[in-house]
Amino acid sequence: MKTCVVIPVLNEGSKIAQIIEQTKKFVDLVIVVDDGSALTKKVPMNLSDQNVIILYHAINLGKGAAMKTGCQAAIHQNAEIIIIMDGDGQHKSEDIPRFISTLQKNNLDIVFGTRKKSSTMPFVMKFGNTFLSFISSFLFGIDVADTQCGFRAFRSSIFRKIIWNSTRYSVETEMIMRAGKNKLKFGEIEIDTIYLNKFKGTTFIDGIRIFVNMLIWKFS
Amino acid sequence: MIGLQIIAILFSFWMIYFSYLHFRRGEFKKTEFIFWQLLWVGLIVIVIFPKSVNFILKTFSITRTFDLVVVVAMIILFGVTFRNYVIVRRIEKRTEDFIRQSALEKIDQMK
Repeated sequence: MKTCVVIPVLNEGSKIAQIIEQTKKFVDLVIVVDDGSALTKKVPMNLSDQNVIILYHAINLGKGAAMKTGCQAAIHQNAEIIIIMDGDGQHKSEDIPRFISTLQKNNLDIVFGTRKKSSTMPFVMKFGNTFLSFISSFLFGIDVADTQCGFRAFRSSIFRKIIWNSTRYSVETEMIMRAGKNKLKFGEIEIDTIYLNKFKGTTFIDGIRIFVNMLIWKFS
Repeated sequence: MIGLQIIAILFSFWMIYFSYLHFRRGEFKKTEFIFWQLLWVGLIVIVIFPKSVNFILKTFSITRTFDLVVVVAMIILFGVTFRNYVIVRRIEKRTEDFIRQSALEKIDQMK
């Protein structure tokens, strides 16, 4: 089965090289989508090779849009399993084989990563996550412990069913909502997360936006 | 009230000038230009002759001309805001499609 990792990045520059090198060991193809990074922080073109594709958004569209571009490119390259991970080094590429094996062994459609609720996880994130998990379970009947974790894997055959409209941080929740609505077979695995920069990623305001979006999705 | 009327008239003239400027620059179509001109000229007429709209006040049971102006302004504001929202969403969608398509062209070239 052809496996592909999609990594949306913003302003990571050549720091992404290390992640690409580590990730390449576990999959057939790595697709990096540079989502309109500043000129000095763009992903260098010379990092691409036979197993690494680097795509560029001319302007910043948001994580969701970068993920969509990456997934469409992966499907174009005949990938059967698509793994999405963050490009800021939060996720460990060593976890990728566990995602793939869980997906295959249990014949699942999608596997969500769940961050360990360690002491390093900021309180706002812990609270927000628990709240959003409860709401998604209540509104869409899908019980996922960590709605905001960006590390997940799915079969490319279900991409049409979960394809999202969100361009920004609501994308993770929208995927869960669509998986719930389409009654897809899902699983969860626990992953380690490294919190490198507390000012990056989902903020409290994003959490409120996500909550409002969930209500809109439910009643639209 | 006179002070407020003068401010309203000056503001309307200012906006008439801006509408004309946008029209001459080709940024407004003729219909848009006429719409804005009528709106501001209408406001000037109402400000100078408040009693000219008495028949509207009676029909809608509004006490003062000032209240009518505020109500109409609110309706226009809501309309313009909604229109702006629709336009912004449309532009966002088109921009996203265009940028993503451009990024994916590289993949097409690889085939």
